[in-house]
Amino acid sequence: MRNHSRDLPVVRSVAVLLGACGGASGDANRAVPIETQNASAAVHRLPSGMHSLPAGGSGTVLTTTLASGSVTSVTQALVRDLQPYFGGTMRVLNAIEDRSGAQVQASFSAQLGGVPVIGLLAVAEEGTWAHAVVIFDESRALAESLNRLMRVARADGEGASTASPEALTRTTVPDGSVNIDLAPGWVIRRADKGAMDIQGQAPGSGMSLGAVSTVPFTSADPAEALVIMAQQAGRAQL
Amino acid sequence: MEWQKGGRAALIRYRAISDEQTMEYFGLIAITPFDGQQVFFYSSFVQAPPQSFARVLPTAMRSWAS
Repeated sequence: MRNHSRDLPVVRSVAVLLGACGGASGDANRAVPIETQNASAAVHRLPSGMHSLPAGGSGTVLTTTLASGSVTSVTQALVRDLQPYFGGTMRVLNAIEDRSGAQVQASFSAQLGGVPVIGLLAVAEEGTWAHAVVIFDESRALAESLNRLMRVARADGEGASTASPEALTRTTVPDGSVNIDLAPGWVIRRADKGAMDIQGQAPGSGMSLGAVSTVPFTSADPAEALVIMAQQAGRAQL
Repeated sequence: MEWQKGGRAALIRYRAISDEQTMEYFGLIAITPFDGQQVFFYSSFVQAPPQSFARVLPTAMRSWAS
């Protein structure tokens, strides 16, 4: 099988892009933090798949990984996804796409709970993935918090892309049918004739490899088949 | 992409919501017809919650490729 790890995301490229934004010096950290994890989260719910990084003060840093189309289309989709979070007030002020067509950077204004905010978003395409970072703060505070927020985004990207890969240990599945290299904390929960279910170390993570079944439909489209199978398994809203 | 014995396969990045919990997936899905009424359905996939998917995937893919 082809090694798909070559297609994996490189978050750092987004952080580098943000690093090129420049910004005001100083970080007085005197503005009221824009909360994303408090009771208002029910109202300002983040788009699915997007998460907030600890910003260490005022402002917010959001990141997400998306299936890549063109970076322009990904950026447009990102803005659409963010509109409910900002109550429909997000306005892109300007956007720049690099000559390679692999990165887009934009500035925007919006309101969060009635408070005016301004921010930057960056989308970088890497193979079949696109990574997005969104930074914003209250309009009066971003000049002072921008450098810190960019450092948060950059550190997250560098942590994801430069961390030493975990050593894998060759493991024979219980029925002896196959070997697989596993990272610490990954546990084979079921194995049968080469198929296996593996629980990952992170909560909710895991793999299912080599599962084969016969199913009563005639579609020739794998994606359509996946939707049907998922719906039958109770995974609605695929 | 073409798959063995006249089947078709696709690498699919998808997201599913079940019991209000969102999970991210990357999988290889293949189907091969065999009697006109049924198909063989093959799947291998990696899953993780959105907040950890980007970090889990590289490790999982190394295992998958081993």
